[in-house]
Amino acid sequence: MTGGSASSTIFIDQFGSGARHYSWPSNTAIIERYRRFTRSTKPQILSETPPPESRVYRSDRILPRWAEQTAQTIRSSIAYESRKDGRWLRPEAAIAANDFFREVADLLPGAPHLYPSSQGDVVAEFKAPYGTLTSIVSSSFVLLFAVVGDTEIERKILPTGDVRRELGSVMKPLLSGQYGDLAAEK
Amino acid sequence: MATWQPKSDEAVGKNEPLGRRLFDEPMLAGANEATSYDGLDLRNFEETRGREFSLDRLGRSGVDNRVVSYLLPRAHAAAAKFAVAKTFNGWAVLRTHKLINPPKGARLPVVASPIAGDGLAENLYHAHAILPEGGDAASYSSALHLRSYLQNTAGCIRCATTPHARSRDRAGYWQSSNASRERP
Repeated sequence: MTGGSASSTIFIDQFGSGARHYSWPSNTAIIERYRRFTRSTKPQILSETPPPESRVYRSDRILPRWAEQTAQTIRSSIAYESRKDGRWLRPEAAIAANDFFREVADLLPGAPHLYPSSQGDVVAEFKAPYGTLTSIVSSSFVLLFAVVGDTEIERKILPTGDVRRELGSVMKPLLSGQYGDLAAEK
Repeated sequence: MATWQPKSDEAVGKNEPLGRRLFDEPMLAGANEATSYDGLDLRNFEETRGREFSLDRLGRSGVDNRVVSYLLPRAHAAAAKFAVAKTFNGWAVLRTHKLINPPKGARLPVVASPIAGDGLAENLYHAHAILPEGGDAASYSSALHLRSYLQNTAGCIRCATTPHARSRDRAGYWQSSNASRERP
């Protein structure tokens, strides 16, 4: 059922039985039912109503070009049945990896080299100006491992953790070459 | 001079070169083309059969060509035994003391564990490092640390990235990489 314009009469195209006109007020019940059916599910925000702060300041990150290709590669590597040739990803790990990249792609140094771990989790290797970063994404954690010079930096992030903050702290030495604080932290 | 052959009860020397076998690992099913990556594939450092990280003892104090000649056909045979046959690309090599006293992370005791058997099933030079206990994250962490030691502080025998290894003639590649043997 799709609607047309309405003033004192309403035109309703009924699937299968053709278009019909309904006039007000003799067909009030039908018109009310049609209004309820076509009413928008989203709350109406009037111009006087200030939008919630979370909506005003929501960050719309600009994802790098490689992000979509990476997501596509991951999606098309999901093993929906048992595969043993070492080329496929566990579905839950693939979903977690796509969520991870959507969340932090703008912080990463470039397109990753992707491959599955022996257990089907997602391994992504990155090259940064001052070192390398390996991320392993499973359904229950993300492991970040950076090597800057002779220094290794490791972070395990649980689903409740702040992945952007953790990745940011790992990326800082990879981009600047200065890792004194992090080396001492370990 | 006779080939060095460790006795069954002989502990692994602190200065012995140990090799981790490197195999050609498959790319992701959905990848359209191989992206360039010149590091070592992490899968070579994951131990899926337990906490014993399998290694080959490559000589008493330095890489011994005769030991390598003994191990080479065994490594190729092992590569063919995977569910999907792989190519053996060489060994990543480091000294025992780097595992026993690593600059960071857990100490990994190294134990000689020769394998008895007939023909290529036998490996008199087999050893293993004992990995720390833990779940998936701990095993990934061990693999990452081990790869980092092997990649940054040790040398390689025929150690190369997979695409190069695929494209080169096996015998010629072996000879050309002899010069790049272990850096002290």
